[in-house]
Amino acid sequence: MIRYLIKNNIKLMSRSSINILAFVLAPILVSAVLMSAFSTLMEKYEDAGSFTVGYRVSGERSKLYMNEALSKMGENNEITFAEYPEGEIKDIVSKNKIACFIDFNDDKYTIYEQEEYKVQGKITEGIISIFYNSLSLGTTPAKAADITVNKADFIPPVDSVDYYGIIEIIYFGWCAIVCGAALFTNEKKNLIRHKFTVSGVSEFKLYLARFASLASAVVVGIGLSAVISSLVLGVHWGNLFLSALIVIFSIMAATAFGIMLYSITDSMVLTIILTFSIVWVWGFFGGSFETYMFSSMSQSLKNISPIYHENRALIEILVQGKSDYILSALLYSGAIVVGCSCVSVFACYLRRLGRK
Amino acid sequence: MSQNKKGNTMDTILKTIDLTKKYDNKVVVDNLNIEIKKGEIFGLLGPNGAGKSTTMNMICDIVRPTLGSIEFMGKDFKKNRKELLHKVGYIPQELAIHGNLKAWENVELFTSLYGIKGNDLKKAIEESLEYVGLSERKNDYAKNFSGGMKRRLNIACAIGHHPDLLIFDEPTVGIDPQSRNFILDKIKESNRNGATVIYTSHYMEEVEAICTKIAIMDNGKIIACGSSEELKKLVVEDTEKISLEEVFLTLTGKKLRDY
Repeated sequence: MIRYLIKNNIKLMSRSSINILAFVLAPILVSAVLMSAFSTLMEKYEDAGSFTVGYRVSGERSKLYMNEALSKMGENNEITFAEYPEGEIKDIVSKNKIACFIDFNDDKYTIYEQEEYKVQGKITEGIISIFYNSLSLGTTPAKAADITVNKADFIPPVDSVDYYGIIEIIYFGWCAIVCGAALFTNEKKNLIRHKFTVSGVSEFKLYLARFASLASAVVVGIGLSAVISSLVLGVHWGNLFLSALIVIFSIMAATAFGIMLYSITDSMVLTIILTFSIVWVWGFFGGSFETYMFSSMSQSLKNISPIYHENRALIEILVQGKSDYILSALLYSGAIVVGCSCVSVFACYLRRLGRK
Repeated sequence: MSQNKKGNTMDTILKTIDLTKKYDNKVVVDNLNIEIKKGEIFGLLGPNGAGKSTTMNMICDIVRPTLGSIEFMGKDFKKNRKELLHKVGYIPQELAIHGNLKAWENVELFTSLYGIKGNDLKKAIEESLEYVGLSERKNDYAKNFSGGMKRRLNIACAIGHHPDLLIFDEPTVGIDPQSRNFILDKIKESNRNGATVIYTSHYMEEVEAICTKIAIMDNGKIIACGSSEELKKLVVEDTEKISLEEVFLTLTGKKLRDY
């Protein structure tokens, strides 16, 4: 009866303090470090939204067309241009809720940007620059003001807390085999495997017991980690059902993959080295360290990584409520579970034959 | 004594027929023919590298023979593997237990592998722990046990399914005399209750004390087989003047076996 084997394997894994450290605490600590390290960088990617820009037209020629041009540029780009003809610019900026202030002269303009409105300042700077370039080429002010900034809509407006809070859960889940390392090593070292053989339990049942217990233990550990990071760090997950489904499938794939490596190598040290190496490469392609949205990696390399599909599906579920990557993430994980399980059982069967 | 169609006496529980194991071109077990009767305590002796463990492993299906076959309870072992394995209790030399499981959890894990479940499993756990004197420590983690207690737990994990054949591979290594005495008594008790026992050890006095038949193995072959008295008579007429150890050294030589 493998249910007793599964039950006791889970007990063994859950009683290990290393496992609690690696699968409950480590994801929280690592994601907290990454959240902090990349928070400023990821703020740059946030959606500017609609904002107000203060301005003053000092040049006489500019007064002829600037109000109309600014009105048009504002309409196209969700910017409200508010005129402040009098007063100290510093006072205007500090007393009013404006992203930046522009002082227009006939031949030049000055933009006063603010630290907390960096993105809005850059957008304003870009629009005004394009407008003046067009004027210098002889375009009429009305035509030159017809500017629309293309917002990069493929960039999800996710902050570093949510991004790394989610991504590191997936990354640590992929190291699932570490959770079973002590158990499998003990089975090998103390020849418990021989007792399994003498009991007549089939390779398939033994695999099933290992898979079910390891996957369950990691799901519980990683699940706890996700709950704690949500409560403590404020990580959001969007659609909980879909997100949980993707995480569980990911852990199942990671479990099957890890057991397969162990079944082939029969060495836990080698298995852990291989797992860390492969998962690191997949994580590198898939956005576990550098955000996948701004990675210069080719799309085909990203697509190779199951972690990329899972990361992208989870992030898009959070920020858009939907993702084209949900199906591919689930199918990729499912294929890994089936493929790796077959290889594992076959490898164990061959090893038993070989040993004999 | 009745006979089955293959000509084995019906009280033969285990028989090896030309059992051979080769690793690469090295013959580890060479055309081994042994016959163990039901109710015997069969001692298998031999220096390191003699082929004892390989023989035991072939009997337990841990290692597959290169040539030859094994008959267990009159049936071909290979063809009836699962059915026959359920009648074997294997106590390896290694402590095949989990330190981070409680005593009863260890017994539950290994006994359940034989298809025992529910109340039967609970009963088997209680009986096994009672049998090895660990009932009162059933809720303690195995990692906190002494060497002797771990050895006893190792035995409890192998007897819950009431096997007909118990295989002990050096079960008294590294334990105190009290634990050793307890284990030997329990082996004899199991035998009185109907179990056939195969026993290997390097402690000659143990083998002499409990085994009804002893085989001495060297270089993959049985070089002598019989009761303690019969083996002694192979060397000297007056059996009181010689110990089993002296017989063993006379038959296998005093040269060190560094394997």
